[in-house]
Amino acid sequence: MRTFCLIVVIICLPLSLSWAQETQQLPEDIDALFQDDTPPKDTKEPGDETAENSDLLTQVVMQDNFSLGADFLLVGGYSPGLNYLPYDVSDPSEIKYQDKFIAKLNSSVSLNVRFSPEFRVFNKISARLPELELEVTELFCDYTVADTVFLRLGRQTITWGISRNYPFTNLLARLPADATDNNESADSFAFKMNIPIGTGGLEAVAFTRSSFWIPSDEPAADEIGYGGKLNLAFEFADINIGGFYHKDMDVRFFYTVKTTLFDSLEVYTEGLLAMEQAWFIDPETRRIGFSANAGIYFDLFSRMLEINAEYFYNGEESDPDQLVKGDLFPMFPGHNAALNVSFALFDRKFKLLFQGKYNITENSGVIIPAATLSLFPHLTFTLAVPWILGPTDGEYSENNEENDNRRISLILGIVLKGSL
Amino acid sequence: MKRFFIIIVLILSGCVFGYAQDFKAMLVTADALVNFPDSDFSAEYTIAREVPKQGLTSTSCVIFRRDVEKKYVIIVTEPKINKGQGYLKIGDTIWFYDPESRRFNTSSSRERFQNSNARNADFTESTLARDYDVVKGEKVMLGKYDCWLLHLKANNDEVAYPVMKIWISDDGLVRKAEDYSLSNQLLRTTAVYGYQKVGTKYVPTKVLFLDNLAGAMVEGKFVHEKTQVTITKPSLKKLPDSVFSKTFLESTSR
Repeated sequence: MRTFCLIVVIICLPLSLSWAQETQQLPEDIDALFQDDTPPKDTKEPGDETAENSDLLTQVVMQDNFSLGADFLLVGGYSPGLNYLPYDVSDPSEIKYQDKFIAKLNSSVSLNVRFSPEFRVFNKISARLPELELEVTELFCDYTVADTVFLRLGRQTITWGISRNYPFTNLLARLPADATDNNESADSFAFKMNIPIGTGGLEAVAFTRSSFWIPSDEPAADEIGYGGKLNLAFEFADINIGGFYHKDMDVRFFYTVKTTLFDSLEVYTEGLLAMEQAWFIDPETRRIGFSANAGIYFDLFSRMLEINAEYFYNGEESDPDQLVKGDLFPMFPGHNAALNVSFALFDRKFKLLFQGKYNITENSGVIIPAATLSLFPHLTFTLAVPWILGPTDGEYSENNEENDNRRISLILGIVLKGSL
Repeated sequence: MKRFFIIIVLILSGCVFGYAQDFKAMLVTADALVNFPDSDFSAEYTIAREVPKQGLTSTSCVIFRRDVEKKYVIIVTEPKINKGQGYLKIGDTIWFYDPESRRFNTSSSRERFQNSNARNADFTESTLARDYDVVKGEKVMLGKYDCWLLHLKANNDEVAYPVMKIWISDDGLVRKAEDYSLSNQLLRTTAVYGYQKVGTKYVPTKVLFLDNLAGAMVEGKFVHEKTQVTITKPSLKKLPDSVFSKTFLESTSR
């Protein structure tokens, strides 16, 4: 079962951040600031730095040598909807009204212990309603060798790739073709090693999921996957190349390129080569697929208006259900397009949002116009209308269980969110 | 008489030429006093932003700079909700790391820092002499400071503001600046009202940015949006190379 259903995710569309409010006022009259002729204060001479000042780096690294954290999320609401659109059916009696009550609660506590600048341990435990299940969502240790090799071992989230619409290059979140609910909720474990090279660096991972091996057993050597990526961070572009192998999945190699044009237009492209493992034995009869995307992001008027548009060609025809852990819809083969627009007003307290994904090949899609209002700290009101486009046997229509297969629905929700 | 006239003209043109030279040299000195080409620089910055009718909010961060390679790293330490966010600047490109999504976004150094009136470019080395030409200069008083008021025009389109006025006090330090659009619309006023000396270099103690376009009427008077930056714990200690990498940003966040 996916962590949160579509409705909860829609309700939790961008929530505003609030800063701590203070009461002190800043001076308004600039010239009045120069009435005192104060000579520069002598802080210190070079080479005479006090321990306090010279250890700013250690201070940053050690700022949380022992800390407790907490997150809380409550989502409540009501959602009426229809299983058909009136113009979809010849017999209007087939149209069924269905409403549902929404109640989700997720709470987590975390413990961060840093024993030294080189070594720390982090643990996060989450609980949620209505499942009432406790889960260790993160448990890992960090170890740094001579400020040059950064190691992380344990349960952790590793994110690769750029696109949030179609995360096909996020190889460690890809699931096997025959993924079950067990795969989707499976814990992930990894050993990650980062070595900075210039601004970017090399990342090597050994990665597996609890669903990849027999429960209550330890993973065998061949149940662990291996991969890595090289990040080349140039001024003109941010480039990644990498790959990942696990015996239960296709072998995949990817690249990502991202750059900023005209100081404000972010342009990105990604590519993926997926090969069935048997391809290495018999290339003639085994499948190989290439996928690629291209997208833009830009904002106007100090981020009042944000726009992201993307085209994605999915050439992995062998896996009709290409699942990515945490994503609402699988990635569908063929030509796809996505559009996201956010328009924020009144110091970002009110937002008009639009999310749309469309599979051109299957003539199937989903659009979600929405509005959020954040009048009070931590509290956001949400109104959204998810609408499935295209024929009833289209991909988005057939993979809509998370919204109870309703073609159109109205969601009225309240989100109460806090973090410490 | 004719020879005397020629001598006077030569002296006057020499003065004018000399002044033009001095103005550019003033910019060079102003840059040199606050840049660190021979060492790394680190300090703690507290950024308070005041929006009329909405109150004061603050952000704290630590900055690591390596001017010789045109790099800096900023790690946000407060407020807690933004803690662990980081900026890495190489040349004109900035990578922003969001620990929540664990992703990097690139942006331009012209963008505003953490939604304040300070821009990312305000945290990097000063390049007045390189980016601006002096149109004219005049002697003025700024409070108790004897200053040169220099009118600057950008010589490239890479800078955030095409036209500037800056006040340089007798000790060579920039005390105040006004940033203008090409149409001479005043966009932002900056006051550097306090310096601290680190060896032979200077680091501001307090900088106030006033947004001349944004604000609100409060009790019948227009009050501007403002951001005050307070700088403490400056240090010139050498930093490891790995600090100026994306891996460092990831490792210092949660």
